[in-house]
Amino acid sequence: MAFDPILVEVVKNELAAITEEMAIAVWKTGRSAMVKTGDFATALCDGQGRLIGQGYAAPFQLAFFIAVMPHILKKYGTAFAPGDVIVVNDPYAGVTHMPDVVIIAPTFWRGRRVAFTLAYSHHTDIGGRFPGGFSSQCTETFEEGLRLPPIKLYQAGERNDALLETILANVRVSDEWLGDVEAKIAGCWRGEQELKTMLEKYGLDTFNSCCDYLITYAEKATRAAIKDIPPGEYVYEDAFEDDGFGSDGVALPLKVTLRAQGETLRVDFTGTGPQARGAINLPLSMTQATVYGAVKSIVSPEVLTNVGFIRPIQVVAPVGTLVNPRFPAAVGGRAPLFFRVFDMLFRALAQALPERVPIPGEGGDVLHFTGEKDDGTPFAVMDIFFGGWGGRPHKDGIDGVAPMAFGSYGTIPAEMLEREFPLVVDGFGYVPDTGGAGKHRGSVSIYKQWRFLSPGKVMVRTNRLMRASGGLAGGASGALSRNILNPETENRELPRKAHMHMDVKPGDRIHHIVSGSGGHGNPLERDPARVLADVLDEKLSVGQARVQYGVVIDAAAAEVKLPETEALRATRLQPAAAAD
Amino acid sequence: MASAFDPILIEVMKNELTAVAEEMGITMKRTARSLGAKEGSDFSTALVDAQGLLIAQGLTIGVHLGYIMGVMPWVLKKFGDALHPGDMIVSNNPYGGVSHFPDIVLVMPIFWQEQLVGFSAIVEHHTDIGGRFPGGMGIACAEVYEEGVCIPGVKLFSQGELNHDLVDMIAANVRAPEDVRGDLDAQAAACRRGAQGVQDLLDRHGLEQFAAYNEQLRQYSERAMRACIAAIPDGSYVCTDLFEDDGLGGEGVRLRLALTVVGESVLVDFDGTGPQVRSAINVPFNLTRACVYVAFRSMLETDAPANSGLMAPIQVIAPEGCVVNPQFPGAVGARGMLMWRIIDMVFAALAQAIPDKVYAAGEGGANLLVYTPQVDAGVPSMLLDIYTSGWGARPNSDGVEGVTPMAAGGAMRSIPAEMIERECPVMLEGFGFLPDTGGAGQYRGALSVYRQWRFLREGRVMLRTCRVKSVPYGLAGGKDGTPFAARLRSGEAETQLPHEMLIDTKVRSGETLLHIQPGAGGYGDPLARDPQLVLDDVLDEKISPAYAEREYRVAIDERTEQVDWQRTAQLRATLQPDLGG
Repeated sequence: MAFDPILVEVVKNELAAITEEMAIAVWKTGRSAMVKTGDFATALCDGQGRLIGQGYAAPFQLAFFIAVMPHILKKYGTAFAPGDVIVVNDPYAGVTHMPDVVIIAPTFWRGRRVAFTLAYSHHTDIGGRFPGGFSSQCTETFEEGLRLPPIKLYQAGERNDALLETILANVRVSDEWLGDVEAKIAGCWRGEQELKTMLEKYGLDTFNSCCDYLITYAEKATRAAIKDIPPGEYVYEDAFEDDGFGSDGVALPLKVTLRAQGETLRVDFTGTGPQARGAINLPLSMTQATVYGAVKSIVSPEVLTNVGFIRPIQVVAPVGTLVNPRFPAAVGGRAPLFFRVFDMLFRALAQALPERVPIPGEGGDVLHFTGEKDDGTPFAVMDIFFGGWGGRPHKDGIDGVAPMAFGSYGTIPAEMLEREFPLVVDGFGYVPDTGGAGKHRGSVSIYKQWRFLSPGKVMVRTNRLMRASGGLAGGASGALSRNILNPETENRELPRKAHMHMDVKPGDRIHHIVSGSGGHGNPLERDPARVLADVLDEKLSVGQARVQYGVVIDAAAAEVKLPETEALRATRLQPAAAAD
Repeated sequence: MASAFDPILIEVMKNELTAVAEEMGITMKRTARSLGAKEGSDFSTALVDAQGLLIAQGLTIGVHLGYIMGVMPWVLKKFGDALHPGDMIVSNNPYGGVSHFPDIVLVMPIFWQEQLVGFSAIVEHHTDIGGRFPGGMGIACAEVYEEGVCIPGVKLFSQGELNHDLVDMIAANVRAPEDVRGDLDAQAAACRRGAQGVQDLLDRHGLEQFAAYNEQLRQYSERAMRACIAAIPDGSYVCTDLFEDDGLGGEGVRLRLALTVVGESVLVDFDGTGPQVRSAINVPFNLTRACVYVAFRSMLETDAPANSGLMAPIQVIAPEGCVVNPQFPGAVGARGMLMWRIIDMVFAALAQAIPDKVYAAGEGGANLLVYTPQVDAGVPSMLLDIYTSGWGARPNSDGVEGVTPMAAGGAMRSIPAEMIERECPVMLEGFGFLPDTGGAGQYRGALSVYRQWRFLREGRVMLRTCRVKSVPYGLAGGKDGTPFAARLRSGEAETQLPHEMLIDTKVRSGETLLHIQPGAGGYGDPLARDPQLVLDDVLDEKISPAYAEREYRVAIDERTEQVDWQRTAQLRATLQPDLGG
């Protein structure tokens, strides 16, 4: 077939439309609040199981799919039939923790396997010791819930009821669990149907050629982007403060070395500490996804995250470390370390490309609440929410959005939470003076306060309770995260654990503050007008405008006092320059 | 022809049925993968009729008596009309008649001439079932979700076809996938053997005669049990006890049973027993009932076959939500501790009515060890070690030593050292009786049995002991038994492990663990013991001469290895035996 760039573009966009239709099907039919907030993704592979990269998904989510497919192909080889539906959540088979359940369905057209449709979502529960299945206070996967190796939930269109019933017997709130799985199957089938229509239009050869092209193109584009990185080694070290149990004095070494050499990038985690006892470890697939997600940010947006994209990137993660634990190490609570490693990768990349790479930002904290409603029916709810982006080389971080690692995530509306679950959202908003100061400010903290109406078990996952998000290029750190119990009465600070468990009684309130993100550039260089705007938006107090930015504001007149500001900044710039 | 009752044929049928159930057991033992099954024989086989009533049970775990009958209502309710030849149902659901997740039950419908005629079934204790604690018997679980993978009662085989995906999933969730896969295969083979055996019987006797003689056998067992109960004076006998603790180191659990005998039947009521606890010691009700059945079965003097007739005159009730009838999702994995106590309590209540038939307390239950060695890659080769101890003294003889508890009686036995050492990184350094332990009495309680392992790899050990606080009691003037101990030795340093029912500890390579199980209670005044028996014990090195003199007031001439009758008389003269009981 002669290369037709227009046709490739058309097919590419049709594929995107198909994955979006799949996502709409999942979203419209999913049962859990998690699906409704967007903690799911859809994607397509070609007949060889190669991820094409087009999907309703964040780059790191696409990377999960890349990691899963080889395990599926290894187990089933060519033993796929029309109507098969495979389910998998095994962190040692490409998935990253067990609440994430992946559905994969082969698409057949005119008797041949031509594609796979994929969907995953984060389920409210997966059984195991802790409701939700993502606590870090577990030591083995066996403790964390039900592990699904690649297995067929449908065999040639026939549902394996015995298997399904067994799965449902092991998860809490099983009707919701099933609803989400059925939504993903519906999404996959929707994709299959659309793919068939598309194949009728173009035929298999054209489809396959386009897939080849998109994969090759992604590889070339990535090689070109890597080539733009000045050759050399970029090292970033950090420490993680929680071993999964919130033990005192923990500082687990984290180290990443980026080696850019020509068109290839080697991302080496040698020097990272041994796997932790608790469930904070990143399974290899998660580490790879984190790397791919981070590198994707320096590649132009039209490049697809697919098997071609990852070819020039080599990930080295020694076995038995925090970033490649040995089975059966627990991994359910891997998210806080994922966020940290993502942050590290950006900071390492920023050394190479200071004008392009931002601080990725904070958030991804979670409330998980389970119990029984007044009528005795069990409930489980996960409320996930975000902080915002860190300062960027040329712009502020965006407040109140998911960090850059996440694309499609949103926050569950209070109305929906309150309608379906026995809790009330007392408040949800920005916390002033918490964003990392900088020429380009990092996002401010977000607080959310829940009031519980039923007794139950609560787990709060919190990032950055002890180590703040640092600034870049002279920017300052963001504020730390906090959890406060009953602020109006006992006002007690809750233990600073990445996964904090407690029982609540009706009327209890938890006030959660997500950390602020680091700022970019010297705060004294920030345009005073922007400082004023932050004050007017109540993201910054007049006092802190002065302390953090050296900007003097007349609150009554709502304007900057320029002469005083210039005088104040002049006194501050001196020592800063001397220290430089 | 089922016309006239043929006493010879009924005897033949009885033995044929039992033989089929036992052949199932032999099949299991010969084909199983795990040490617990092939050496420890921790499984039971049964045949039930189409209504789910027990018609035969293999020579296996006593406390599994009636176990399958607890599962059958669930099977029949769910699959009643949807059973086909070649189907096999698998369940480990404690809220579906099974008693904890590691016990997996397989039930196979038996068809003969296209008619459902009954079921062959087997329950086996598997090496692991996943969950928080290796072995699936951890005590510190609050909900079944923590305890491992639940198999709710689904078809493992559908018309002969194995559900591979289901097995793959189960295997992915256990720490000993090869054991579990292999044992499931063995269980399936045993069920097929049972079905084949019953079909052969039907070919020979025909369904009508088969059914008629089963009914005769059922009535025979029922008559035997009714006679046994009728021999107990009418009345209500209450036993209260305080179980060690709530499983979490908190207060003891209040236990109460009232055993009311009216003529030929008995009601055992657990009203007054404490509520279910937030740990895994809760006993699912089907198992509670089986414990009562086995206690009565052990008093039966005739050789009545184990069928549903035995259970007919015994009614067991327990309030919902109490520790012996927990409600979902209460954890039950460690029910093996409290379970044995229920049996002890039935005996203790009966002791009020028929003191001459009831035994002193044994070691408290089947104690065991789970060792999970750490390995560099893959799944560790776990050890579920089963070993024996001994019984309490009986009204007319010593407690039997070196056997599993009476209620586990029959085929369960210690796993040989050679097998353990071949399959797991562990050396068995000692296994034997500890002299001068157990309760003295006219009839002596079994000595403590100790077992000592040396671990060759770093790993995790869970050690179960059922009586850690309440020493096994003596009866009728017999002394109480002796307490348990567990010591971990690392080089020269020795640590005394805490008095906990389930010790969960890390071990390093080269460390040794010594487990001294409680010694059993004695029966009757020690001064009434025949000095010749005391001498035998000294010669067998079960007691020392000093102990003989102190506890039994029997002097032994160590040189001649004879009783020093004169000194014995003097010693005993200073204290008169309390013959009043």
